[in-house]
Amino acid sequence: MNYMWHLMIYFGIYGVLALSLNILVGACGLLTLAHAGYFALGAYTYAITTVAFGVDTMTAIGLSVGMAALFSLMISLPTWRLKGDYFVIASIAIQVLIYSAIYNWVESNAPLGTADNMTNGPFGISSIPRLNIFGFHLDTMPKVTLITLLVLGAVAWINKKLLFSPWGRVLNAMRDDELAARSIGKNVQFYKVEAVFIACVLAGFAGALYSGYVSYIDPTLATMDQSILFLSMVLVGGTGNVRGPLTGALLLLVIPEILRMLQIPDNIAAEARIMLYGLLLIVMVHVRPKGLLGNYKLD
Amino acid sequence: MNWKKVIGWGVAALVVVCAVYTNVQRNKTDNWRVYGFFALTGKVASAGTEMSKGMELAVEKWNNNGGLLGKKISYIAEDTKGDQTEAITIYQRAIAGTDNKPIAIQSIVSGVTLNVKNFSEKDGIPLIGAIGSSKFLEEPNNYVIRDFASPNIIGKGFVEYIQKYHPNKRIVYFYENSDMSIETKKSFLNALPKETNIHLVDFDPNTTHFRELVLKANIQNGKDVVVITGLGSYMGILVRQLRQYGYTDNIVSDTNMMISGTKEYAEDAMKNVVILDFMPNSENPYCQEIDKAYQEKYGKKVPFNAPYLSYQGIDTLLAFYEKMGTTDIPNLAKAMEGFEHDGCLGKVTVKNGEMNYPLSFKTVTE
Repeated sequence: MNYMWHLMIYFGIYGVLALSLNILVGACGLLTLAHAGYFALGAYTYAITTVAFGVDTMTAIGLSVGMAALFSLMISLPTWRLKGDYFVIASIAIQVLIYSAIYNWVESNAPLGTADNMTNGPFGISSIPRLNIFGFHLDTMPKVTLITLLVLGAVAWINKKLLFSPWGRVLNAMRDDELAARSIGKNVQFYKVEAVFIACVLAGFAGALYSGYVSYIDPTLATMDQSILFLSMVLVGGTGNVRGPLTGALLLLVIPEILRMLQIPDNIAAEARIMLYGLLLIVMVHVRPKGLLGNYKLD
Repeated sequence: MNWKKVIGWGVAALVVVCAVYTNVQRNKTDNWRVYGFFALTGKVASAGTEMSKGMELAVEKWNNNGGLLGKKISYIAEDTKGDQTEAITIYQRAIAGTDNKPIAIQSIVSGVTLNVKNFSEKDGIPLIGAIGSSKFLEEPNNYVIRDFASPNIIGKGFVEYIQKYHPNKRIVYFYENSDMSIETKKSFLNALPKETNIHLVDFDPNTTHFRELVLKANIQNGKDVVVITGLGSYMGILVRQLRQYGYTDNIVSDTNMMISGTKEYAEDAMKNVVILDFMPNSENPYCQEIDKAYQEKYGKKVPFNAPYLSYQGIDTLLAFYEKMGTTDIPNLAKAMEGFEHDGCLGKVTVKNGEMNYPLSFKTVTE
């Protein structure tokens, strides 16, 4: 049963990430490869504040979200005139910056959380305390599952309200024709900053949840591979609505499990599965460019 | 109501449930279960696949000799892709649906091991890790045993070698910016006399451009000795560039230099590279056994030393179970303290949660 709980927890966390990325990719049409960086920022903030400073978990979550929000300005302010390929390149730069900072901010003789050793670098941070939400200690898998899915539900509801609100419609207008949106008096840059802010806040929150669940994190959370995984969830599932990213998150989580059902000989199983996985993604994107349940097709 | 959609979702849900059910059902076996959590694909796949083969050969040997405590052992290789998030899913799958818990998990890659450890410690499942960083050993571990020479030992070993064969030389130390290399460097510096002249050069993992680092170090034959620590075949490029820029003396490194791909990148520059750590001894009957079994099963020679390490790791643990007459051992790490076993790399002694085995220096001659 722990296996099922675990899959549901991951679905909850990845679902929040996919929904947050959908705000940028689906609603604004801004392809970003920096999302894993914000996820890792949230995870690391939670880990550092709880392990090094003994902060309670609720405050740590707040700080994680705050840190991600603050750093969202790193992407939104320098790039508010950029779009398309240029925005992607800028996001790659942010991604590399965050990863490098996490990986290299280490001095092995210094304690964690100090100016010399903020992140422990490649050693990672272990013994991260489990989440404790208003006295409800998440020390078992069912409890973590419950909270994660509740969070996912709340984020999905907020996402839906935002995307189908006047604010969301402005984002769609920016995506479809930024010049037209500006011509009717919409402050496009400000909306972009807001969208990035909300997306990064949610990503940071997902990072804190993840950190509190696994109890060990390292810089691999902030790699480009992770960003591509999150982006794949949104692109495969579909953008522009709520069900698309959730479907993408679920699909990318369960495809490896389904592939295991196939009785592939052990000596080639690993390689065969990863090739099949890649092939499935290619076919899905080719056959359904809008994603499985998306409203919007990325150019 | 759109019945097509409902049916479509229903079928999808059914497939998922079947997949999960089937995957869990595979755990229901009467055999002992041992797992290899290795990167069978991805960046460290060359090491992961070879370690998996070594573990498989060890399990086969045990099964050919009647199994463990009269019961056969099933070896299951799982692909972590070098990803810690994947490793937890694999772990949860491995323990699901049965009371017959795995009696051992062996893993490579620090992140994977440290992540799985958080769960396996609570479940009381032994985890053998080829882990680079020694920091995790500072935490109390009941069920984690390391089967790889720790950076502490390697760093001190480097110092001993250099003091014996290259006294009074400047040391030019190239180290990768990774947990294992940083720890090795730290141990090296701690063991080094304070007045030693040393020039430290760090580089990021997967660097392939060492030219400027090499030139800046201004290394001279007869006056300097080079030490390299890192993990990745790109170290072969560093060795080659050192030779290209005129350095022909010893290069001191550890067994990670010998992973697949390094020699190919280095071409003939590997001569005169001195390796500390375990080196398979072809005169050791256990190594000969592995070599023969590997050749028969895979149709080629053992390409580098990873299979010996994983073979020895699981072999030692199984031997301990055999000696104790049970696999249900509370606080295994403490219980194994002082256990000795004739491993394929020499006599293994378990001390402080580590499988210690004889280390030696060997010079690469081809």
